[in-house]
Amino acid sequence: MRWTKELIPIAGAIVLALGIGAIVTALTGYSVPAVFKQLVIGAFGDWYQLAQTLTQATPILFTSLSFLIAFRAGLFNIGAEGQLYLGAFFSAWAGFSLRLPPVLHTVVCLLFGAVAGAIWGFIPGWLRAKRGANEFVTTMMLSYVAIYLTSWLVAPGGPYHGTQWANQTVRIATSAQFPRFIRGAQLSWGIVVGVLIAFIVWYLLFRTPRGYELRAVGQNPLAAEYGGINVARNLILALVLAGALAGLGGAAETLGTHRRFIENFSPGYGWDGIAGGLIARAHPLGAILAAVLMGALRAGGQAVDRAGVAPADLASVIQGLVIFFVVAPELIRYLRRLRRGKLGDTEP
Amino acid sequence: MKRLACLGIAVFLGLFAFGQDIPKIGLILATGGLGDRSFNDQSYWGAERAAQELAARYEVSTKDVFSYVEPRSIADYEAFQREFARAGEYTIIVCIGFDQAPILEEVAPDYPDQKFVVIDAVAAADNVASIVFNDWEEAFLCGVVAGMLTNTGKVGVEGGMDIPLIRRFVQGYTQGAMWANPKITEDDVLVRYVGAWNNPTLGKELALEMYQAGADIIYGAAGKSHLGVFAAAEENPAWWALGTDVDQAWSAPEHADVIVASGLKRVDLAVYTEIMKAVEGTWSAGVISYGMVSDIGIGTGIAFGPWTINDYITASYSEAALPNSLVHEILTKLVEAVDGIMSGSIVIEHE
Repeated sequence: MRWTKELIPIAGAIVLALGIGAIVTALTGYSVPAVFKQLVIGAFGDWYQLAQTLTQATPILFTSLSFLIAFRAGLFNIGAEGQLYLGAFFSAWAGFSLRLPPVLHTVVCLLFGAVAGAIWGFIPGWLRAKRGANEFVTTMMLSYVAIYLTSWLVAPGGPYHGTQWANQTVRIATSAQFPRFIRGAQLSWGIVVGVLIAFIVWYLLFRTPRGYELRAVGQNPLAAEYGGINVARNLILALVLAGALAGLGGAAETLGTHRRFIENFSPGYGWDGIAGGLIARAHPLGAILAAVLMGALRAGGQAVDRAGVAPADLASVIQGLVIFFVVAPELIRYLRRLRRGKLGDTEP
Repeated sequence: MKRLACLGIAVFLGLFAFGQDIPKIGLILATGGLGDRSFNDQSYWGAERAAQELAARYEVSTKDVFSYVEPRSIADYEAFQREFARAGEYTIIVCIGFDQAPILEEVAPDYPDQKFVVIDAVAAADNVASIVFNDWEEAFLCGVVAGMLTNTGKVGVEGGMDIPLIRRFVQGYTQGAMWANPKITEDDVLVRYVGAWNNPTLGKELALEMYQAGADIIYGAAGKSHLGVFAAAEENPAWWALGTDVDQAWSAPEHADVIVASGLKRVDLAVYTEIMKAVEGTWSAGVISYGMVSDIGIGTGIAFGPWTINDYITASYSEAALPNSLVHEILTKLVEAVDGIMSGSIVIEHE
């Protein structure tokens, strides 16, 4: 019952967004049926295209989880992009520097990614809890530090510039790689790990005292403190977890999709996570569906671009419209609640 | 009966497919993207020219025979290369830019019947034609112009990245300037690397830094980033700029007053030739070099002055106000340089 209540307005918003997307397509002089046909084929046309959708969905799932776990604690982590980059780089480092047996190597690389992201979440968490620094600003600013730091690490003259000319590291060892499902497709075990982690996050948030404390702090920090909850510790924990989740997303990209760290590899997965988390109504399992939706739009966009039925920019416009229509009502609701000084809990 | 029906359908589909056998071009640009008025745009023109000829031949629209994409990051290359190859409808897939080569080496063997071309790097695979250019030759000629034109005795060059491909430009340019002007030493050639192909703002800052340090002419070899060199040169009438790969006084006409000359690298010719070879069935994999001293014998040069002298020194749309006597002097020196390179009396050192 609750599910349908949440899903119907979202489905309505998607239809509305696609409708306006169609109008924009027609007004700019491109063929509406051709563009939408390619969008659908590109996202779900066959096994390969479906794999592309899930490949794109994988990092978005992690960054959505990253956003929503902080959001549940009343924090805005908009630095997932930087945490993703650090996670991707350090898991790559562990992937090409360490010599370990297969499964263990992958696990160690994931840990490296998670810890790197977690450190990048700890800093704004600590600043927020102990010094009151707005995490909105600090997470975003630290994001740029991380992106440029990793760019430098693999740029010519940097310490990890691969043997080839491109700005990327060498390939990670085979023992560290996530196996791929279909020959030739980039889809890897990363998506399975992502779904598993979504369930873990759900369990943590809604079935453990720790999760209860996090949500209590998010709903009303003063009441939580009065109830004996250590608010500062929970704020730090929320951003550490958020950073770790985004870092894991970066690690999944490195271990499965690219098998090395590549400069500027993310087309904005960190930002997609904000939209994904909000589309999911901050629910960890909803994030799986939200990530697939966003992944489908990205994969479909690439097909539109390749088939030449419209420029890639038009596909981006349609993506933007969907995000806007689905997310805007939720955001407005959130801001309104924020003004009233309380955040309603929407989970079971 | 069933088998017969299947056969019938197969034959019908076969005929249908044969009737529809129109060649198709796939183009994956480099991360600099269209609008650089140089390397990427020129690649696009080469493919577009082939597409127009094919469209006319088969009486279809250009869009039916030509698709292109502009990847935003190196990380997009693999998905696009596979996307095109998997479609199975492209006669040839043209990959622009050295940084596509590493991933193409992994992707190409998965699609053994698909023809690929990569520009500016060698990808070792049985179904890839790798096109390389003697970049140092165009850079040497630009160095000659810079060496003859400078009043301060200092010249500058702005590269996209500190990598072998671009260092070859810097090396050629430096030797050209020193050959044309004995007063110039290696220390008089200022070098800056932008670190990106698509950052004209930073490109301008670095150019201003070099101009203010005394260089009065700067050669740009940084993709879209060195559009910033032209913008910087506009700020002082004593400052000049040199373009890359295509006559940029023509492709970036708003800066024709400061662009004295441009090195030429006929990427368009190479792209066009590879496409047409694939269409005519004469295509083969392997490495092909373009330039004055190369497999093809043409493909590099310079656009300078009002006249086309030969295959290597062609007319430019430059509107730079230079005295006629100086133009003649430089052209004479350029002819001498081209002769020297062709005859082997000038050997340009490069990595």
